[in-house]
Amino acid sequence: MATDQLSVIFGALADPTRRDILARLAEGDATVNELAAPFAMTLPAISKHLKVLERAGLISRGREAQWRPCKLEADSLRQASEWVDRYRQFWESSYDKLDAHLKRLMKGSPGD
Amino acid sequence: MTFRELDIVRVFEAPVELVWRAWTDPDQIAEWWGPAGMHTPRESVELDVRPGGVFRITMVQTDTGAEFPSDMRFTAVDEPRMLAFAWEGQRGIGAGSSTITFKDLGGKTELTNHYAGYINDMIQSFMVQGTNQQFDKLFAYLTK
Repeated sequence: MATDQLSVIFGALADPTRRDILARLAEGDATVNELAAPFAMTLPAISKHLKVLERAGLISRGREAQWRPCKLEADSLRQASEWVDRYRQFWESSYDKLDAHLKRLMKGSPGD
Repeated sequence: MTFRELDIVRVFEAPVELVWRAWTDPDQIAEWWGPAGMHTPRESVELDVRPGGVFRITMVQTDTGAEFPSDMRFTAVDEPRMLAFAWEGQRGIGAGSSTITFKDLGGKTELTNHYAGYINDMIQSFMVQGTNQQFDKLFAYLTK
């Protein structure tokens, strides 16, 4: 995945309202009205957030003009999550290998 | 970019001299450098373990063959107690440094990796807010 697209995803995720919207969509598709209900926000404000999420590829929206239900696109989120995990776990995972390497040396196994 | 410091501490069941060599011998560092799913070709490793010496190493994603080169420089070397290296911004990670401290625990070694550097603000905010409970729940749902 291109770094630019990841930046767009991270930017979209940096806002608490947008994360709440994603959490709601994890339970199932919803219309803009349904998504707006828990927030003290106008529909245009919610629509703005939805546009950011859509641009990041985190949600998609139905084409039926009247309802346009929003749907979570889990794959984008999963890729972002995996990228961050790799970043954070670089050393832990390398150290697992170092640990195994040192254990081999301590046993004096052939090839080391 | 946000400045961040981070300590990763781990105890290894090996004497300090052995752990030091695992870090400073190119043949050995190629055996363990890089997370699961990555390997480090021996020929990509260039180690000149003295202040100002180069520390170049390339991880390769085993599945895809994608290469992740790091071009760093040793800034301090105190065998077998401390090893420090630094890098300019690369791969979306800002300039930074790592100081590896080798603590002799008598047959065991406590390794502390002190990271200090700049990281992308997006990643920073994502990492901080990733601890948000609802967010974790969402991820658990998405990745199950």
